[in-house]
Amino acid sequence: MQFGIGVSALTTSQRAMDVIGNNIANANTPGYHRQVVQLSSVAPQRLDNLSIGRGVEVAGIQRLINEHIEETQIRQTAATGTSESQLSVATQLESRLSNEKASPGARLETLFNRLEGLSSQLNSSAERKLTVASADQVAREFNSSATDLLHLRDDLDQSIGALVTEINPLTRQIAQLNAEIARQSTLGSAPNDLMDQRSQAVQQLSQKIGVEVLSGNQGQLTLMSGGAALVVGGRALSLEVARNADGEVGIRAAGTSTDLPVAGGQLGGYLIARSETMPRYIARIDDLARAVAKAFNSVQTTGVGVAGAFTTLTSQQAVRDVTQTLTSAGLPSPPTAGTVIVAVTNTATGERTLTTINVDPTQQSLNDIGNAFGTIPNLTAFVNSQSGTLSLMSAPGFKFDFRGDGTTSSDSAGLLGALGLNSFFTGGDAATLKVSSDLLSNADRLATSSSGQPGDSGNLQRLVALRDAPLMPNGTTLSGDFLQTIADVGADVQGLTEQFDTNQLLLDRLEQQRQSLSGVDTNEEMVNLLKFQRMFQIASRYINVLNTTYDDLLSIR
Amino acid sequence: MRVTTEMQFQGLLRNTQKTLAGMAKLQDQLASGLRLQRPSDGPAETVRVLKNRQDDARLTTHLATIRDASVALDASTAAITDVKNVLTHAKDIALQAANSAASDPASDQALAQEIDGALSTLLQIGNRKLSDGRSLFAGTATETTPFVVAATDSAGRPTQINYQGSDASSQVLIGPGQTLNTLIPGHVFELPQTGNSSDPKDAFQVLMNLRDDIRNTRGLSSTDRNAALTKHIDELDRATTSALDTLGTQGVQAELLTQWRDRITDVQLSLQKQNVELESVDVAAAITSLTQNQNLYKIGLSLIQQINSLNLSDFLQ
Repeated sequence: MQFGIGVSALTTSQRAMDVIGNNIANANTPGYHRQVVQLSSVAPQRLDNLSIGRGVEVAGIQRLINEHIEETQIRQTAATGTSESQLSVATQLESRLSNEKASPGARLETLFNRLEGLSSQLNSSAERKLTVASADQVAREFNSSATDLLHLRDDLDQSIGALVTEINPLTRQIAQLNAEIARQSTLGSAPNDLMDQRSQAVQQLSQKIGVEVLSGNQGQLTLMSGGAALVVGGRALSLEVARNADGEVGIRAAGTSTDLPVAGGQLGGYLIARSETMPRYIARIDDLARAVAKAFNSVQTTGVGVAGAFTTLTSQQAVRDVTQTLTSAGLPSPPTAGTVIVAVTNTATGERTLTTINVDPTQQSLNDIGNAFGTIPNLTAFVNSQSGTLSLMSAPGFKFDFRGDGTTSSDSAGLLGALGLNSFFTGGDAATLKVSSDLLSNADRLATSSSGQPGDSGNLQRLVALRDAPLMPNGTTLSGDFLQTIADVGADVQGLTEQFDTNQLLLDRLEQQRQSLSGVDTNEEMVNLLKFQRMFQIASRYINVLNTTYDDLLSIR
Repeated sequence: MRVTTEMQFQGLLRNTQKTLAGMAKLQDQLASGLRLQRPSDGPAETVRVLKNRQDDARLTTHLATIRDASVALDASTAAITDVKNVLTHAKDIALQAANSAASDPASDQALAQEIDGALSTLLQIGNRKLSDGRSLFAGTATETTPFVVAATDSAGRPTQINYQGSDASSQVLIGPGQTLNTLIPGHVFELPQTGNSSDPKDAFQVLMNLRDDIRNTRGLSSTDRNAALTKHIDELDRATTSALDTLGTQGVQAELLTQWRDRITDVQLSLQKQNVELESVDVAAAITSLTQNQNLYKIGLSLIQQINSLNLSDFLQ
């Protein structure tokens, strides 16, 4: 009879109840893996020919974990983070672009309605002013959209910066845990709780940045992301946000100059949105703004308003250098090779003289164009090298216009629109689009007439025809292109929502699988507790029986 | 599969959250009456709705243009009717002059003065303007007074009236690629030419010639004067026929405008109906779904309560 057997049972049941208590205490701790005591019988002793057991001992405390599920969960968390951040950006894009009343597309439609309505009120100064004001609204809406998208991009940059700020402490924490786990493993103990803390930190990290987990010596983990080792043993790589020469945001290891190809997690999603989604939509708005300017300018420049022909006119679109060729002088929409027909009219006799100027933007500078205009009788051209503009002035008793002979295009080169001579819009993208200041200050310059007569709606009809013309590269109309942008952003949000929901569902399933093995069931723990309580009670009873037996033995006289 | 209470709670929470999100969406739809609240609710349908609204607004613009065009068309129709009446009256005077047995200077003077009055009226009609100041018969030169007296006789009577409007009609846009001539040029006063070089240019010239021949300023014999008056009556008939032709054309255009307006109204109704079908919420279906979701939500909450109440510790002494 050995008290040791009873004591071992008492000790073991106490340890087991400690583990159960710890499980119950951590039942709601995120990332906790339930632990179970591993019982083992103590090696028996031999007495005579008998092998008699010596009780029970705790061989170890096992942390219940399925490494495969955990690794899959880390990857799935990263994928969910990616779709979550992409969805967040797309949703913001959707709300900024889809305002039905205040969007470039809606304003463009209002402008076209104004232009169509103007045909029956050509002599109305008020209607012309309202039409020009409507055009101004179009330009402002483009500016506003461009600003909105740039703000969204800046917000995105801040989110990227904030994520990196959150990632660095996490990688440091994982590195510290790695070191401590290795130390304790070396001492022979199983640092289960530290491993849980590290698993939880890795899960959190994988939501922010996609990581690949590699197992190392002494229970240490190596975390790789974008080909770089974020954590190796007790060392963590510190990340920082950097901008390249083009203003693009990249992620680098602190102190290096090469962007890491980060993919996955919220950071990966934001970087995709920053480098692909945002530029795509910014480019679409810019392309539309350029197409609007080009189309309206091509009609406006070759017509004439009720204000009639010009005596002076100064270009609104400046060149960087008046001596450089027009293709390289910084014009938003440079002209192409072609001709411009300039008409100079004697106001006394009505005699109209047409002169054709050849334009080759690869060879001619603004100075050359000014010289060509200067050769036209009764017309003076002046190039201002400071402001980069061209001014035209007719001789007294003469006026000039660009409406040509009415049979051929009077500006096949697109020179007038490129320089902003009698143009509708100036600027080269959504942020810089403006209604020509000449038109804003004098709505009578709105070129509704092809012949110069105030009741002639010929040029107005050309302006209105732009509405149904397939002017965009994919064959859609100007307004149709904006509608397509709305449809695309809506489809993006729809697709990303489905993707996020699917990823979330998969993640939930994986969490269920993880919980199935590693989760704490309080009822199960309670049953185990009762079991070990009973074990403790029986062991106590056993010791009591032994004690009584010895007492009986000792009481023999 | 081993199931823990934590798993049960998480599963129930996830599902009740989904149900709650569905309820919130249905409530939004019912409160606004709209099924499509953002493009992602149905990208293609949203674009269709927006396009329909754009088309509807465009058609409203066309209706306003048609109203304006109708005003101009009505004004020119009234003016041409007046032209016809003036010419008819002038013909009556010419017949009276031609039928009188002998030339009576006093009577001829009175008839000639009446023709002068008719000429003056015709000139006023020719230079008539719309209420916004645009000339009715100057074509695209809407701010020009189309007919001006270029020369007068010693008594100040017009002897030459020139047209200084344009040759092209002013057009309004009543639909995509659809234009309507509203302000026509002064050619409506011109006489259809027979090829005879002595044909007068326009109705003004006919009246001036008639007036002069009634006064017999050329000193024609009675026979020649009667022949001249007969020729002028024929010219007045041709001018009247020309005015009636123009009236007919104007009438056809007015009819077209009416048809076009009716068609636009029909299309607008169709677009609005389409949009109602596309974007409006199906109230019955939405309320049914909402009720289903509410029941699911209640069941979910009840299950959470049940799971919470079922624990081994409750059964232990």
